[in-house]
Amino acid sequence: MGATKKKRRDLTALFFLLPYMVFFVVFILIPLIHGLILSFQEWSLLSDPIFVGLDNYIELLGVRRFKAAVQNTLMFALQSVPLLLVVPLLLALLLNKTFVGQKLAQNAIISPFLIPSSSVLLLWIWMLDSQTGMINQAFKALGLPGQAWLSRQGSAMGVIVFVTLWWTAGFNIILYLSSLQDLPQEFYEAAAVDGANRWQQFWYITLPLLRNRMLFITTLQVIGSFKLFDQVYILTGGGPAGSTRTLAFYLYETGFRDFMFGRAAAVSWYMFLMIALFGILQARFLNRWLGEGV
Amino acid sequence: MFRLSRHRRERLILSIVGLVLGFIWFFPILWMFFSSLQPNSELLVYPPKIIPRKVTLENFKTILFSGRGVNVGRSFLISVFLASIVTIGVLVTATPAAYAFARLEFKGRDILFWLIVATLILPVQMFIVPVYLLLDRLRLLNTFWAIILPPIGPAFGVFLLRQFMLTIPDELEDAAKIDGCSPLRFLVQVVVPLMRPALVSLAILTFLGVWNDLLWPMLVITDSKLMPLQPALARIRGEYHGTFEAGTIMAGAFIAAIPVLIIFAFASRYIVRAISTSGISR
Repeated sequence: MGATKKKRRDLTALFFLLPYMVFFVVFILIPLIHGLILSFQEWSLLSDPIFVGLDNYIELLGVRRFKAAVQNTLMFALQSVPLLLVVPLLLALLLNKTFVGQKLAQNAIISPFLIPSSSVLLLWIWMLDSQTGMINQAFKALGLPGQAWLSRQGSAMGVIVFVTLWWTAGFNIILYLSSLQDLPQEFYEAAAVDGANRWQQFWYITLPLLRNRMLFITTLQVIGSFKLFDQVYILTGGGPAGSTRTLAFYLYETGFRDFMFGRAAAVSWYMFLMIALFGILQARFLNRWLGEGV
Repeated sequence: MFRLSRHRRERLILSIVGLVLGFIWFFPILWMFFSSLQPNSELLVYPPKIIPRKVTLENFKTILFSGRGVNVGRSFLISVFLASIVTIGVLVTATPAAYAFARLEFKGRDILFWLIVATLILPVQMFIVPVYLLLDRLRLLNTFWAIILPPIGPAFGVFLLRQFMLTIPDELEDAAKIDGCSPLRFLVQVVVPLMRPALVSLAILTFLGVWNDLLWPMLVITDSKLMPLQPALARIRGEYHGTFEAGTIMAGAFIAAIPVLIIFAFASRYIVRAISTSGISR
C-alpha cells in the first residue's frame, strides 16, 4: 500500500473516531489522570491545591471510618457475591425449562433489575417499616416479633444484601440463561445414554460449562460491591453506627460533604488498587483452582 | 383416577413452582402499586389489605402537582428529556467509532480499542471527583449539560456496536467498494439498517442508564427546579412523613418505575440480547 493511500486511510478512520474520542478524552482519560494528580494533593474549597505526595494515602490508613468502610465493603462482597452467583443460577436452571407460564415467571423475576434505585429503595423502606410495613405485619400474623430492620446494627447490612439480591438477580439470570441456551445438547444425550442421572449431568456437564460465565459474574459482582452507594444512601445513610458505610459512600462523604477532593480521589484509587488486586488474585488462583477455562 | 404421564406431571410441578416464585418475586412491585392507589390512612390499618378497599388517584395528584420541596411531575419530564438527548448523543458518536474499530484498517486500531474498553471496568467513583471539578471549572454545574455530556464518554456503546458489526459479512463491503461507495455512505446506507436491533438495544440501555442514575445528577444538580427524577425521589423521603404518607411516596416510586416497566414489556428481548451479547452493563 502506498504512503498516500495509508495516510488517506488513517484520515478516514480519524473522521469516524473523532466525535467519540473527544468525549472519551474529556470525560474519561483526562479525569482519570487528573484524579491521580488530585490524590497527591491536599485541596478543599478553602485553599488552593498543594502537592502533598502520598500524604492522603498514608493518612487514610489511620482514619477509623475509612478502615471500617473497607471492612464493610468486604463484608458486603463476601455476603452478596456468593448469593448473587448461586440464587440466579438456580432460578435460571428453573427458567431454562419449558413449562406453561415460563415467560410470565421469567419476566416477573427479571424485571426488578431495571427499576430505578430510588423506586426500589423507597418501596423497601415502606415494606420494612417497623410499625406498618408489610414484612413486620406478616411477622405479626405469624406470631413473630417485628424488627426495626434498618436501624439495628445487626440487621441493616443484611437488609442491604437482601434487597440487592432481590433487585439485581435478574441481570445475572439473563447472563446464565444465555449460556444455558448455548450448551451443546449432544453432551446430555451422550450422558443419558451412559446412564448418568440428572444430578450427575448437572455436576459433570452443566456446571463445568458454566465456569467461565460464573467467573465473569464474580468479577462483575466484586466490582459492583465497590460501587455500592444507592442502597446505603437511601436505606441507611451509612448507619446505624457506621455499620453500612461502604467505600463508595465514604468517598461521597469525603468529597461532597467535607469537600476534601484530594482525599476523596485517594479513596477512589484505593478502590482501583483493591479491584486490581482482586483481578490478579482471580487470574492467579481462582482460575487455577477451578481448572483451566474452557 | 386420571393419571398424568410422568412427563406431564413434571411440567405441571414446574409450572406451579415457577409461577409461585414469580408471584412472590414480583409481589413487592404489586404492593408498591396497590399502596399508591389507597388513601394514606388505609395503609395504617392492621391487618393490611392486599387488595385495596378504596381506590383513589389522590396520591398521584399530590405527588405530581402539589410538589412539597420538589415537583415530581416536572422532574419526570426533565428525566425524559435528558435521557432522550443522551441516547441520541451516544448513538451518533458510538456508531461511527464502532464502525472504525470493526471495519477500517488503521495504525494501532486494536490497541486503542482495548485501551478504551479496559476503562469500562473502572468504577464510576474514580471519575466523579475530577469530572465534577471539570464541570465546575467550565461553569456547567447546575445546568443540563452536566448530565448530558459525561455519559457519552464511557465505551460501552462503542464496544457493544463493534461486536455486532463484526458479524456483518465482509463480502457486503467488498461489493460496495467495487461499486465506488464511500465508507460514510456504506455505514449510513448498509450497516445502520442491518444494525437496527443492536442500535435499539443500545438506545434502550442508554436511556435506562440515565433514567435510573441517582448519584451523578444528585451531585451536579442542586437546584430543585432542574432536578431529574431520581434525586427528586430520593428527596421526597424527607419531605413527606414516611409511614403516614406511604401511599403518596409509593405513587412517586411507581411513577419512576412506569416507563421502565413499559419499555421492558415491549422490548425485553432487546434488553436481554444486549446484556447477553456484551455481558457488560451498568
